Amino acid sequence: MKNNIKIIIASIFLVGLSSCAKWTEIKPEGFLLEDEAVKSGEDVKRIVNSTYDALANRLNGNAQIFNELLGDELADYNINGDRREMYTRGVIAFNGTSNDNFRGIYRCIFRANTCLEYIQKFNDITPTEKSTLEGEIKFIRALSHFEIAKLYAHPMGTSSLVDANKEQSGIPLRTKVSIEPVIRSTITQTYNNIAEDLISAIELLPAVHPLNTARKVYADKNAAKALLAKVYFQSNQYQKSILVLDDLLSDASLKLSDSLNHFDSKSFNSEYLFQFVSTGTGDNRGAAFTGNYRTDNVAVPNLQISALAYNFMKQDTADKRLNLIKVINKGKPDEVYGSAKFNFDFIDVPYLLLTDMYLMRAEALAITNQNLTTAAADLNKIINRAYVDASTKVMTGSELADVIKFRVRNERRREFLLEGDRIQTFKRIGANGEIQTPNTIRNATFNCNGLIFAYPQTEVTIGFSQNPLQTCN
Amino acid sequence: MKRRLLLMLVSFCLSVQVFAQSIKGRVEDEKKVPIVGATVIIEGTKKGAFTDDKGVFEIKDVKVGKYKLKISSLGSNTAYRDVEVTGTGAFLNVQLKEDQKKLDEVVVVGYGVQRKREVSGAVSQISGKNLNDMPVPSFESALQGKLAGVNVTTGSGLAGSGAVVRIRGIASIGAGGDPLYVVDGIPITQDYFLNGNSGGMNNNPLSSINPNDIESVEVLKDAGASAIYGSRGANGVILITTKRGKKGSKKGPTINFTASFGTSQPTALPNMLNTQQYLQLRQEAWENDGGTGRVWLPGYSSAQSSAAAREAAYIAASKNNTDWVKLTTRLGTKQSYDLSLSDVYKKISYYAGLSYSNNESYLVGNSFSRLSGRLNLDFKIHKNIKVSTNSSLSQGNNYRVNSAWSGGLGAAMSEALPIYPVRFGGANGDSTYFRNGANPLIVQEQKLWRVGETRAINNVAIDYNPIKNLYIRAQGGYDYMQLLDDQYDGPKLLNIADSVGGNAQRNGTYTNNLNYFLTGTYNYKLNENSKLGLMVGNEFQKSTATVRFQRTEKVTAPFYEQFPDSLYQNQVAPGSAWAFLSYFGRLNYSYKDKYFAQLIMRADWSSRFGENYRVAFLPAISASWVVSEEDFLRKNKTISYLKFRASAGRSGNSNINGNARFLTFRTDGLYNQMPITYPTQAPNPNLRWETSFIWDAGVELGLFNDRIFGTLDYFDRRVSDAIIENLAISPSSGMDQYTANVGKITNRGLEFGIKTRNMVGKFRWSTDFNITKIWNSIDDIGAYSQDAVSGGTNDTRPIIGQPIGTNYLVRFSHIDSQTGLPVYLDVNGNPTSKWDINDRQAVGKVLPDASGGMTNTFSYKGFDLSILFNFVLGGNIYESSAKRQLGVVTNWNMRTDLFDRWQKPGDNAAYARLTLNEANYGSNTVWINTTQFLHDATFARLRNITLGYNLQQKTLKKLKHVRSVRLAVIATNVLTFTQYPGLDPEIARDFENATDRNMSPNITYLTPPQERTYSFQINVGF
Repeated sequence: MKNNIKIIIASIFLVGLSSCAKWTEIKPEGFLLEDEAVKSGEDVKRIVNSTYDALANRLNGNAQIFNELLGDELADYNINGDRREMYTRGVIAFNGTSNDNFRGIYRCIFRANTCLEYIQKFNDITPTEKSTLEGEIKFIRALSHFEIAKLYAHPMGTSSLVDANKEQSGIPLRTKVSIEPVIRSTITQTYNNIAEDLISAIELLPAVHPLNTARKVYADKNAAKALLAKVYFQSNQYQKSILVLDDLLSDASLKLSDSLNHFDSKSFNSEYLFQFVSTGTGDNRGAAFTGNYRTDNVAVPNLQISALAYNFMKQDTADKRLNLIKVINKGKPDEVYGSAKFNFDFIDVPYLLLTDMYLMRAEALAITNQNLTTAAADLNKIINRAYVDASTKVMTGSELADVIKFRVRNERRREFLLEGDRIQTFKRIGANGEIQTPNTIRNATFNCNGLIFAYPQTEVTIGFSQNPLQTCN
Repeated sequence: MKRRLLLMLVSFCLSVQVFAQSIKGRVEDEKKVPIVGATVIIEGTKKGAFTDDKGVFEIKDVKVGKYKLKISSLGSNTAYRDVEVTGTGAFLNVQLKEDQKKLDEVVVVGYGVQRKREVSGAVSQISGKNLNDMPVPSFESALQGKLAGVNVTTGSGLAGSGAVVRIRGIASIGAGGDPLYVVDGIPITQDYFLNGNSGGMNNNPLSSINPNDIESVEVLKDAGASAIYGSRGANGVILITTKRGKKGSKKGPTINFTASFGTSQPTALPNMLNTQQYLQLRQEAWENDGGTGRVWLPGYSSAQSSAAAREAAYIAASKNNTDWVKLTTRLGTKQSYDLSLSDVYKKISYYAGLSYSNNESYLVGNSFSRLSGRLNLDFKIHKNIKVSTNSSLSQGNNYRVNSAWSGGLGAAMSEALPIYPVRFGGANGDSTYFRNGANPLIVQEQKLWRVGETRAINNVAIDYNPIKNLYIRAQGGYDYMQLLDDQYDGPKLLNIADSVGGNAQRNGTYTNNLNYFLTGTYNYKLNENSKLGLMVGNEFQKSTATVRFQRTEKVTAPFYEQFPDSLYQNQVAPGSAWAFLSYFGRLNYSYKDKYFAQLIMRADWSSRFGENYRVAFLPAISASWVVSEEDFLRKNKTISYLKFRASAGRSGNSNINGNARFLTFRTDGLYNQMPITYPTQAPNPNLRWETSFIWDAGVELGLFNDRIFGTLDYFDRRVSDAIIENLAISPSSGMDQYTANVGKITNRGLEFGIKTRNMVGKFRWSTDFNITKIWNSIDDIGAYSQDAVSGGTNDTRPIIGQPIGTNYLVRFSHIDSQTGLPVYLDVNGNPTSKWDINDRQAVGKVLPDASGGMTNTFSYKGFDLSILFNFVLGGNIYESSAKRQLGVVTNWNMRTDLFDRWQKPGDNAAYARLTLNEANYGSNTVWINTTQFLHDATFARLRNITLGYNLQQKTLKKLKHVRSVRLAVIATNVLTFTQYPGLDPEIARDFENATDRNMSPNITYLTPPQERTYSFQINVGF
């Protein structure tokens, strides 16, 4: 009897023990674990591809619109919620939209840094491929840090109105995978780090990326140069920018597009140096642009051009770029202005444009008052394309540097309407110590804290300096 | 003449004496205490009486003769007495013995049952009958107010919405705070976030359970009871036992049919402005801000419009006056039919049920229908072997609508302005949808949305009794849940040509939940007084939820009507998978059937635990003493029952994201038409269950033969390793989320329940009352700031020393009577005109101080009346959407409360000077949370009132084969007593994740109010 009991009880345990603890080793559903996801160099390539993917989802117009909201070229129409905070220069630490963007851009950096740990691990890819991958990762990381710096730190320059010693707070730099908090580097450290990544990328990247056909989908040597030039330019390091641009623009294969619309890619645009690509209506990487600005399928677009911007453009009726503005309800009390740049079902988003390169070199040369002939020649390329009677508009090279500078900035504003450039130009020039006319944009001086976003509250750990709130409307 | 009269009177008196005697008597218990309300019936007749408060009864008009009396009373054994009625009547004394069965009734305790007397943990029980007394969106809502320690916040008025159930408060921040639901031994799939938060609603995994199938619900509340569920028991366990076959009073199967019909309407409606009011207030704001001419109007003009354009817009807008609330709500109808059969036939007993219900809510287009069937079989295949099966299959179809933040009534309460028309243009002015502003009617009319849930909960069990006192049970269970969320956006919604067709998508979640357990129980009699019981067992459970997203375009019907020929997207999305392997045991010792002790141990291995913490070992001990069984109390006339019990032990909560411990990658999506792989989160090898050390002391007391019966418990729960989910490791880390065990929480409380039989006899009145008081505080959240927990939306935060779900807001002081502008308080309490997030303070809490309910039940002859009040004392409601409805004038419609606004110096107004510019309120944003909209959450509600009538036996006899007929009218949420100025003080809104669900109930953001229902029910038994 007792034996029976023992046997039965023991058998219960035996049945139990036969189901060993390994039964609870269960793989997550819908996810891969590291040993499944990263088995080869090909998998590393996929992770690199994902960094482009993640960036494309941020720079699909959203990040550009944030910059426009801070500026003065959007009408105060239909700007609500989180965007309103941007428009009123009062982005607080809980602004979900800006925080999503912050997180999203750092997500690219996280992915890039993850790749760095894997690149040397696999031998199914050649050393050249490894170099290319590393170059791309550094390019992506630099681009991401740069986009954060533009929105979350005051510009670098010699103006005492920010910090003449360039020691003001920059951004948290992430160069390796870590869950630990990182405090903000100084603005000099920030831009130096970005530049270092790009200098390294220029070394590592091939002249022609093997996956690029007509479109500049993946970073190549020219893309890294173009970004480095832009980074130097934006951080008021004009001499360095000119050197990089001279090198880049000596490439005879680069050719401006005939179209005045930077978004008119039709799958190929000769002047794109780096772009985010869309492959169909279901894969529109310019969705925030088309969704907010498009004027061909709505009565009024979601976001409209301000009267101020329209009047500026209208000052020169010979400017063919006026055709890219659609006047809605013309002459009526409810006349409003929209853009015709984005009237496509899906668009590629140009990130580095040859137009920008020429305008950067022209301005940099004018600012540093050197080689004005080249400056004028660069500027004329843009003028010749943009005006009905361009011959009356072109520069000779004998003008004063300030005249060229004024003109190049005028053209920059006309070229990049709604593309997120204006506020950054304003901040850059201000940080360079120049007095601008007017010296405010919608009542904000270039160094107003309202022109930079508050960091997400969860980023603010001990020792982390939050951007102070200051409205400037 | 006088003599004749006298003779007649004498003979009449004599005849009365012969033909109209009475039986008098007294009924008492063993302690000679009178038993009040005992029933005394003459067998074979309908004559009878009840005892009065002295235990005395009298049955009048009894002829002389011999009779048999049946004397019965609740809690006592029924007695029979022969009595002879003579010409002087009859008198007898009856002593009833205490009914030991009450103490020997069984309670389900997890992996077995125990007699009530030997339960040493805190367990509450409610019968299925008491759960079916009112229409509710889901069965758990019917627990509200009925059980001490069980707090239920009914989901919103959306059809099929789920309640938030908290057993003895809440002691989790980032791990699920819901109890474990176990249906017939299967811990069922109960993930509220399987389908995310869409349309302002979470999926309710309990809605497919048919309340009519439930025999009883037991709630395990303390460690002494819940520890048997180890790392999953700490939030309490709700054990649901479904009905089984029973032998009826008549030959043949017992058949029950219930049908009910009813209506649904909101408990409150928002008081939004009409066009004239909106224009007036907006104009005032514009002029306050220095504007001249007409104010610009959203959808018509902009701030930059010329004066002429604004004037034209104003004239055009004032022609419309759309009542969006009216257009998005209705009087909903409800119907349900339930048929069940039950019988024992030779060695087989069965219960079979078939049920259909269709419940419309008051929101246009919203309904939940459920068709369910159940078959529970027991088959005694051998004298000591029994095989049992439980099978249920249900199909729930929830026709969804947008609500709250996503539209529908939510839009009617916010962005849908009265100046917007629904349609305009054409000959009748209705050819085109208005699209220049929010128009919820477009979605309401052009979107088809159905969430279909197919649910099958089945198990098979073998009970084997090989030798005396040894019981072995093996059970295998399978819980399958398929959720198909199908949405179809028609061409008019997409604003494209009808000929193109619309877009359809399906988000399918397929959950397979398998478990088995094997238990052996042996009862051993050590000696005359001592008994030992040992149960050991092993259980394994594995659940996988696969999610597949499918999408197509240019089609004319949703997936549920026509599966498309081709798909634009067809991909696997993140799901969940988890498993538990457990060993457990329960050792019971009893001495003289009045001293009881119990030891519970359970070890759980789980896939959810990080590699450094693979197994949770959680023991608990408990003891109880039935004092009333002691000699010194046996004869006490007042105390009829007294029991002390206490327990202490560890219980766990492992309701955590099963994926959180891994470094995970995903491969969905393409870039440049090439595949991508990307990491999603950092691993946490130290992730583990939350450990609760819980102790409980309770007393159960019955007085006056249990006419008054109460329970009182004190409980104390200390949680360590509390989970914080979505921990914002710096967002710059680039990882989306991280989950870690970092917190400590204390949750203590008192719960009290009492049942009194106030009146007995023909007219009966009983009262059930319960109240639970909770003290709750967060003791530690590691090195993280309160803002590191991003899950608590609408500014609830974990603050050290404050309860879970603390409102962390800038303090609003008053409206300056001179300027009309709001005055806030800074961090030091000084008045300021600036709203600054750094001035936030812990100012409120979403948890109530106390909650409970009271049910009064009356019956007289065939009538019964039941009235349930539930109440919440203390705590706060944060009316999050009020900051837009009563704040800066924007593109939101506003409420008539604004009539009490500041208009001129000297005004003492509730609301500030109207403005279109948030800067005037000291902020850069209109999204400012302040205490201006933090309200006292106290309320009492007439939750349910049911008036029923049971057909009397004499009537039933005329109806052949009919055993019983009951008619009832039921009204729910009839009256609410509250100071809360918003819609409805009972708020369980849609949640983003577990943290949000724990921290942010009682935060309302355009949340649809509860529904008020009126129903008629008929129940026929055969």
